[in-house]
Amino acid sequence: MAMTETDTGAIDTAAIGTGPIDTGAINAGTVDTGAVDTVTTSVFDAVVELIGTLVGDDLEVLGVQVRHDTPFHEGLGLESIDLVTLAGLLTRRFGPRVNLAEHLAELDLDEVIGLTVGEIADYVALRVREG
Amino acid sequence: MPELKVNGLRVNYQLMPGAGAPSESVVFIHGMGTDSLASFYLTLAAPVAAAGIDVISYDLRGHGKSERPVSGYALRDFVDDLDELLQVLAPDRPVHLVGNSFGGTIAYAFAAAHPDRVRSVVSIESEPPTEVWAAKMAGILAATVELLGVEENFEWIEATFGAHHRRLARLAAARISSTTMAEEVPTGPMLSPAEVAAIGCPVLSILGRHGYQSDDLDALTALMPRGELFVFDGQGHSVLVEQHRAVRGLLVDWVRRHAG
Repeated sequence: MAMTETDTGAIDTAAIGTGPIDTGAINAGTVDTGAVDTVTTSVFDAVVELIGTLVGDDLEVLGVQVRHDTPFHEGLGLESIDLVTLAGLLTRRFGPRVNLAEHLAELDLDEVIGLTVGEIADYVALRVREG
Repeated sequence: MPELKVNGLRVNYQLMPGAGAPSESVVFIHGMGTDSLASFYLTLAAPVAAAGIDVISYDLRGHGKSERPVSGYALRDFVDDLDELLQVLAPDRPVHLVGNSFGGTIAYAFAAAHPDRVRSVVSIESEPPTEVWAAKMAGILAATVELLGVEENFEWIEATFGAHHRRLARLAAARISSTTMAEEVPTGPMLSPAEVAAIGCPVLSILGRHGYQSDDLDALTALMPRGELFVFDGQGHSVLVEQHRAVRGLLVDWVRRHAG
């Protein structure tokens, strides 16, 4: 047989961090909007960091300011196959509760095309809060 | 994403294990040009896995994150790739091949060549590799090459379909101009009508009323009298992404009805 397995984990997660973020602050309290904001912010930062690995360079070096409303495809020059890679990175970072493929399968085509970084982060934060 | 070396090329693939203890596997085979495993991953993969079916997706040679050789794009190359891929990823049981557009044509060709390894074929907006298919494919590819060879047309594409489609057109132009894909794909090899009729596994053909098969629907039906046909009225070629919720239901039901 001419085929051999060369790699089962092409992405070096050590470089981007594999530990889940600390959700203790929001799990401990029932109504604590400050803690929720902390989670939202840290999840957004983590999503931006992971997107940086997709782009292949430091976003700041490239002069790209990733905002909540930055479109994933048009704003960052990424393809839908990069969304698949990001989904895998998010699951590695936050655990199997974050299943971006499952979430996106409920959207229509134009919603996926116009997906923003903030919408991705909001979904992740929601799943993190739900534990 | 994980990769395998297939026929000397790096092939990107994704596994999504089915919930519970799955006994069935589906293999998603995407279409040509700007397509990749993403079109299945973002529509059907997660719901089908949640329904208890193992899901295998991969990027065809020259597409997505798989390697893009300059040449080697005859249908037999794609069939050989799938053969070697499944020897590693699904060595123990026959699979359900689910192909979109050109991916469906690969599925038919594989089922004809390896009948013992295919439980069923689900083709979405596609048809078997006959002389009719080859002529149609050659025409579509020639028109695409001509369209993408004129710089002004990218302005028209953006004005008509939006910036996203302009980017996709740029990608397609890069893939087509840097490879022999457009020339080689229609060369087959083709299946004779008798060979198509001899495909023994169950076949479900899902089409758009106004899609690429609209002009030879009757001929296709006659070619595979034992196959099942589902047609979306008012739908063009983009059945998978525009009707993905309905296709998901059809697929899960189909696999359950044709489990081994």
